[in-house]
Amino acid sequence: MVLKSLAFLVLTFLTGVSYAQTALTLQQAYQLATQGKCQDTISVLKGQYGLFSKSRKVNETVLELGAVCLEKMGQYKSALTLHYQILNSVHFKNHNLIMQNYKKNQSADDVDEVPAKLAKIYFRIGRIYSTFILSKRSISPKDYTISFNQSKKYLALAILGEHEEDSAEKILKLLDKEEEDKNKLVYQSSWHASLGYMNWQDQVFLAGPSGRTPLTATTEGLCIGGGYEQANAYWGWKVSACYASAKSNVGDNIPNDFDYYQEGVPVNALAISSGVFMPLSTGNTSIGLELPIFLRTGNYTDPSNTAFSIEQKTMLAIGVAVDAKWRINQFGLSSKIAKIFSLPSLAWTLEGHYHF
Amino acid sequence: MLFAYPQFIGLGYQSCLTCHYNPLGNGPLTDYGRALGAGEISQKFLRMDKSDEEVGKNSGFFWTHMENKWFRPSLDYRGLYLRRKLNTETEEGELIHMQADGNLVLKSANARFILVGTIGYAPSTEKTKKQNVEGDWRTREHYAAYRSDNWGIYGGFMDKAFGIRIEDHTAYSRSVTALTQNDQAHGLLFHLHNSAHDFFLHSFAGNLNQSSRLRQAGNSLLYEYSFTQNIRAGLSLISSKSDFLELSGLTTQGKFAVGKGSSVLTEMGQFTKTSIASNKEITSRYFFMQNQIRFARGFSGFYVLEWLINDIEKRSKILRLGPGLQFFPEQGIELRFDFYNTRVFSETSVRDDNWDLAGQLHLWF
Repeated sequence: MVLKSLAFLVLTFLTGVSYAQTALTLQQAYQLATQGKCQDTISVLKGQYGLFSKSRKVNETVLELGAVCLEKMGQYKSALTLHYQILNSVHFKNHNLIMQNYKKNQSADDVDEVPAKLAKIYFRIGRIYSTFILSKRSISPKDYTISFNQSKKYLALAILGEHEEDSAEKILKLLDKEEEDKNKLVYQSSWHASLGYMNWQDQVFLAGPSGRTPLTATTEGLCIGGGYEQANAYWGWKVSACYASAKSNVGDNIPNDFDYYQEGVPVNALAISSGVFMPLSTGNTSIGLELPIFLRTGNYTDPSNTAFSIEQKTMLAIGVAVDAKWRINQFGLSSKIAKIFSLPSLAWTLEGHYHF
Repeated sequence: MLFAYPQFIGLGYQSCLTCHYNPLGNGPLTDYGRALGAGEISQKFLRMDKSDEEVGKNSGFFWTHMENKWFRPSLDYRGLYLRRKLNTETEEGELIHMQADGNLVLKSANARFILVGTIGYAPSTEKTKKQNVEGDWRTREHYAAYRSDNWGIYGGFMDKAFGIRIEDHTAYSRSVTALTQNDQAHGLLFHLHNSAHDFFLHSFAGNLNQSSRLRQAGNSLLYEYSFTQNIRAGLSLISSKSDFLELSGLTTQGKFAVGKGSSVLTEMGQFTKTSIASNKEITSRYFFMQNQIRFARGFSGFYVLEWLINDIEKRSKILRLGPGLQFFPEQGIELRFDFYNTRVFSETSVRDDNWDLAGQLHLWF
């Protein structure tokens, strides 16, 4: 693209300059530039035409050739300086009007017209700013924002002026993609309150003279809690806690010489979890893995026969859980399946979340 | 039939009519439905060199492009390997051929008139063998229809319009409501619709292949409204009667699209069965929730939760958790794995959880 610009400049030059001697020297400078000898071109322009001179008025063609060469050499800031010098010295009135109109809505919509000459300069400026973003060079967040906004502005104006529209649109797409990728890395955090349903199959023991008999306790209840999570588009971590007030039906299901059954035993439980999760690219959903700590205490009544008692009325255990989550705006729905290691079966929870 | 996929609301498809000839889903797919299945829903592992557009175009009978506009044949097979009562002394496995159907759709060029018929062989299962029932040829759907832009009328043998029509006929929302794979009825279905509303009125005389005393004749209605592109809710009512049994029920239902391709479906219902002879009435309540996560094109995870109170006069209830995976490696091929954890809350005893595992192969061409 830079080479194309150089060729264009050569053509412009060949048809535009009027002084033969000057033209000859500038022609030599162009030839050097088209041969890739940009450093030599800059030397000629500095020596013969006062490029970067503060005391001497410099011809627009010289500034333009210098800017293109400096861009090719990777000296982007110097190239920008020359482009702005052209805008502020040669095209000040038009440029100023365009900038004022653009500023109204930060958009090219309010700009009536961009002359071809300006569109060409705008395209080059936009292209240089995009290089700061797309070359992945290390720049400060402030410079990133400035470069991003300037690039989008100047390329949009170049498109309006119908200069290199395809190239400008291609660069704008790359910038949008870059911005999207950058935003995906940004961590966002949120607190949530939760209200859910929890059920699990528990186990306590009936201890008697002949040993311990396992009792199955099927338990369900409401769970209230909250949590905190932080995530970017690729992964996240979270902590949560939930207190459950539940009822349990407990009994033995082993054929033997006694029966034990108690319905609606009050049970309190606390589940504290931490884990990681992966937001899915299909959006608003995630799957995760958690390590819950589960504390449960139940008001299981001891049998009237004092030779027997219920053991493990209170229990502390750890486990592992798979969590799937669906989210619409502030509202989330979380389904967890947990294996608490000392419980005989799975614990399930279904929670509604509200994110703050 | 009940082989509908209402979870595709997650892809922005709220109305079943877009993809099925039957306006409540299930049965033969329309050309658009087949193209969507090929070009958006399924992977293309057997046609990787083809673009989505190409596989969509060649999504007709056996991946061909159907030139004519009036003749649409198709074949359907579903087989299930079910392993029951895992980890117990009575653990057993069974291969069940649930469906082996040939389907034919005849339609006018503008698709306003359609004739739909299916016929298939239903082999005996372990359960039906015990009842001395042999396998048999069976049709589960045949009807004629006229569809205008905003309404349609369907006459023939169809599933009743009630609740969310899901593919799992063992779900409590289908079994308790007597709407399983062989519960179709002859009748007239009227459908009124626009972009947000769907209204169905179904008047049925029961299955005319059954003895007249067994036929459940009655009416049902179903209404759904799209609040937004992502939220749809509705309700349905049903009432039917035979010489032995009177049935009535109502549901509320919700369908929610989440992200691109994921969804949440809910249905809550109450159903009453009254024995005419004894005048004994049993009312059941259920809640069904199917949460689907789309991992990638053609690959989804499921999390199904079901609650059933078989008799609201009693305190017993059954809960069932069914995580599963669904995979469409190619248009016309579906693999599905479901794991069922059933938990009983009884007012008289406790039971250990029950575990079942199901693997399913579905082919349609």
